[in-house]
Amino acid sequence: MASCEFCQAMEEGHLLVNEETTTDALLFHKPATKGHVIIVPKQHFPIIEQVSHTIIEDMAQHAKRIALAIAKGFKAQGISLFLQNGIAAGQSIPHTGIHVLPRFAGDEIPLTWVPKQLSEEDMNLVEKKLKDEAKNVHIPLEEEAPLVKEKTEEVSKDNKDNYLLRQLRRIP
Amino acid sequence: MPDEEAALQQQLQSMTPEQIQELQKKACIFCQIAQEKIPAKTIFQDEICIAILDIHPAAPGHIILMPKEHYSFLDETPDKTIAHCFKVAKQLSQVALRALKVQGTSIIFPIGEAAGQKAPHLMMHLIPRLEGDDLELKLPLHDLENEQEVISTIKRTLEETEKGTTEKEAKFEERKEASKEIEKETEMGFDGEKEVSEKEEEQLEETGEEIEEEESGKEIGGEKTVRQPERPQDEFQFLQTLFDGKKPDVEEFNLNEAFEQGEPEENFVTEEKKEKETIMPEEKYQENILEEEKAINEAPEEISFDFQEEKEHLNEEKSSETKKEKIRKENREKEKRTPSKEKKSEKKTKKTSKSKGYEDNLEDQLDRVAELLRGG
Repeated sequence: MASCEFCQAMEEGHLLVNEETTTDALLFHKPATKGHVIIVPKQHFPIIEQVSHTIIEDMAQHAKRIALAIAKGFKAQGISLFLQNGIAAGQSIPHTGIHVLPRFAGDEIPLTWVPKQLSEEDMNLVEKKLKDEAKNVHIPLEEEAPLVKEKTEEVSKDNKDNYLLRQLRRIP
Repeated sequence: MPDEEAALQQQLQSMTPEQIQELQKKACIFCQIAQEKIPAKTIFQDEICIAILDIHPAAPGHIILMPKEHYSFLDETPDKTIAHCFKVAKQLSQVALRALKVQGTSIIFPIGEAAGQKAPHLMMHLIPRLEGDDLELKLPLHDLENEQEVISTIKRTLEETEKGTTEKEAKFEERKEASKEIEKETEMGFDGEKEVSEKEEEQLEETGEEIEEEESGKEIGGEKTVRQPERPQDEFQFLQTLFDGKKPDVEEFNLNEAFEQGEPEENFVTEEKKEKETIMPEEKYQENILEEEKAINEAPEEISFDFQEEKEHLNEEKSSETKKEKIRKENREKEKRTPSKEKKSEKKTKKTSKSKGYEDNLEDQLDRVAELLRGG
């Protein structure tokens, strides 16, 4: 998408910090602080809900790598990972991404909130609503995934065997 | 009282890291929530993480998502756990959007006190957002300055940290390899047999023994010279098929006869040779291994090996055989001899090619065979 700033930045490459197979780490064009990076999927997804689990996994792992490097490189006291989802949440560019910010005590980045007290009734209502909706959520665990992989590997090995056997048969 | 204090301090110092971790867990309110020892309004949980409602929310439906395991820092948290948490966060964001009819969500993952981490247990906050709410969760926008400097700083640290780890890994691997090689030498080549499981051994009895003898041939027995066992006849048939296209004078040439005439002296492994090989200085030995490995890596995969191509190559470059082709041939022959034990022999070629004597012998033999085929 030509109109998307991140897609454009990825094409131009001058803000590129680090690249992985499905994700890019870009220097954010309007940084909140020095060293503000955003991890974006190479494919264009406006909001996180559209991103597949595998790409989210890549994003998260990439974010961790970059976060640790930023913390070390800028001698930061902390790191904020921040994901804005929707215009109401302050998302300014319709291309989802994880912000990685180095943090220092007293840097006045307003990623804090004033704790409030909700009435017991309201809390129960919210809990019920969310719980009902979350019933169907199932995220496959990491351990389940490799099993599938192993299976496919086995198949490919068999194929290889067959292939070699066939080749052998062809040789008189 | 001071005595008690001192005693406690001593106790703390004498604790193992595991015990300290256990203590931290006991002291951590979120670990207790994860273990359901403290009641909480749980929205979702699985084996890795748990999502609860924040009792002091920034907005209605403020969810705390945390790994069940106690991690205080990002670098001690496994990649998989973080990835899983983000996946759950995505799903929960969707849940919040649907259930609470909000217009967006902010997902905040503070690491370190400066970023707003309030408890020594890593957690993500998922805050539902409405347009015009009084939350100030946004990033100030400044103009980009010194971008090249910033990029190079990050790149450099990334390289440093990753290089550091990979170097460590490489060194570790190197040491591991080296110790394996030494073990192999001292074991006198019987490791092959050890790794053959019972079932496979049964299958191998007929065809495999021959190879095994061959592989460990130079080490077997105390005889002065150990002759390499004769290769099965079909191997030569196979080599003959390589020339099927042009059919040079190979057909008239009796390969078996030529073979029976005797082998050149180089193909006998003498006691002296053996000694030389085993007392090779370690540096040189390592170099040899690296060279051999390189050569093997350079050779194309067996699977992509084109038989037709091989024919052409042989016809074209009969006089000057490259090392690659030798290795190719070697692999082909192995396949031919033990069709049912492909994987096995693959492994073996890898392993045994590292022990130098064997490969040299093989190469010599191959050279000789090539010569014979040429009619020399």
